[in-house]
Amino acid sequence: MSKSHTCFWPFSSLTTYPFPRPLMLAFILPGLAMYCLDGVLLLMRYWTRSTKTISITQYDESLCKLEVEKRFSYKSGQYAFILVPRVSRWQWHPISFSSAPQERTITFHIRDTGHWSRGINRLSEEESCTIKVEGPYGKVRVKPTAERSANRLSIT
Amino acid sequence: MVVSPQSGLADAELPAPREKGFVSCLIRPFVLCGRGYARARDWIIKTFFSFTLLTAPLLGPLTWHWWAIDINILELLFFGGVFAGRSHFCCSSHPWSMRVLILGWSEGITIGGSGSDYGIATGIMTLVVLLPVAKNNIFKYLFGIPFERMIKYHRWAGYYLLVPLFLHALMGMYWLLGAEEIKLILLAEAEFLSDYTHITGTIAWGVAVIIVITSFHLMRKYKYEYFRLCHFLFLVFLIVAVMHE
Repeated sequence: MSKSHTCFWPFSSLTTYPFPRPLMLAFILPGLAMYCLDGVLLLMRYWTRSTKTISITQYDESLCKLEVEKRFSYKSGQYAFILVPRVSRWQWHPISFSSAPQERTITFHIRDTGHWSRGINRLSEEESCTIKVEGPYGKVRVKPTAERSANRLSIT
Repeated sequence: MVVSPQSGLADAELPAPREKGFVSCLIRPFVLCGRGYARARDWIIKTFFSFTLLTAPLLGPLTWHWWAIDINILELLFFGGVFAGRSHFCCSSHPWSMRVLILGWSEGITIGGSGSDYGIATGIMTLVVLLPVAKNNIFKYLFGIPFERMIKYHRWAGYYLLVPLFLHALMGMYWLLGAEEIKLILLAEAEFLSDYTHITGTIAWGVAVIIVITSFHLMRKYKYEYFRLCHFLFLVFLIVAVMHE
């Protein structure tokens, strides 16, 4: 057997790539694998990362401020998914950071607009509470061609 | 007592920064490489693909904003290719191709089997639908597209999935209820069909219709929980679609 016959292996592995049967699995598995990996990541973060609130401030009946430990860095305009077990054990809600990126704590300002945020606004100020913060997500985009937002305010 | 100017809290009140562990030291070079890649990627996007004074007259007219439709020329080219060009490599009977319009349905039926080409097109659109759903996604790191903007592509692909799905269902109904000569034309594929193919296909069709109807904007806005619940029927759709083949 000559040496050149070893070239058979890469070619055979390329041409006879075993597509799964049924073929539908080939269409489903890439996206589903990424989805499951994302779920595993979310579960690991749920089990390992818990963040203590430093202070909870109720401004009035409909607005409160959560100040929590900072575990990651973020850029302005981003948001995080937060889960407050004392309000709901399952619901992750996307909330924008209201603190500047260079600050040493993270604050969220949450207004009472629904069941979950009403629960947040009913939290007692005295006890510190453990919450889950997952993030950061998002990216600032300013659309100069959008006509619906005529007035803009940018703070740097 | 040192009070930090940013947060207004004393240093003693703040939590101590966490120490770096063994694992984080090991993955440190990879993290740094990833950050370097992200910086280069963001610089390229910012310089060449965003609205600056230089590129605004170029990109502005090519962007269309109307209600929820937010599409630019790059997305139009890419998804136009995905949605219209799939017929070139898998479908012989695309409804937009002139050949089918002139010669009628039969050619598509005979070449591709009884609409199995539409079935493969539905499968490919399922792939396109499933790719952007994960929050932490390979495309997020490659192209810097955040999750909430990627969901737009999921919506487009989901709506477009209905086109080959309905045509595939139409072919199946020809096979079930059609005349004998149509069944003769479709006979080439008949050996692959089992008794349960029609049942699983009907279930997958119904589930897809339920998912799309409950995901309209008003439903998402006012009945988010129902939308979320009905969207998890996608697992049923996937299982039944694998059984259907």
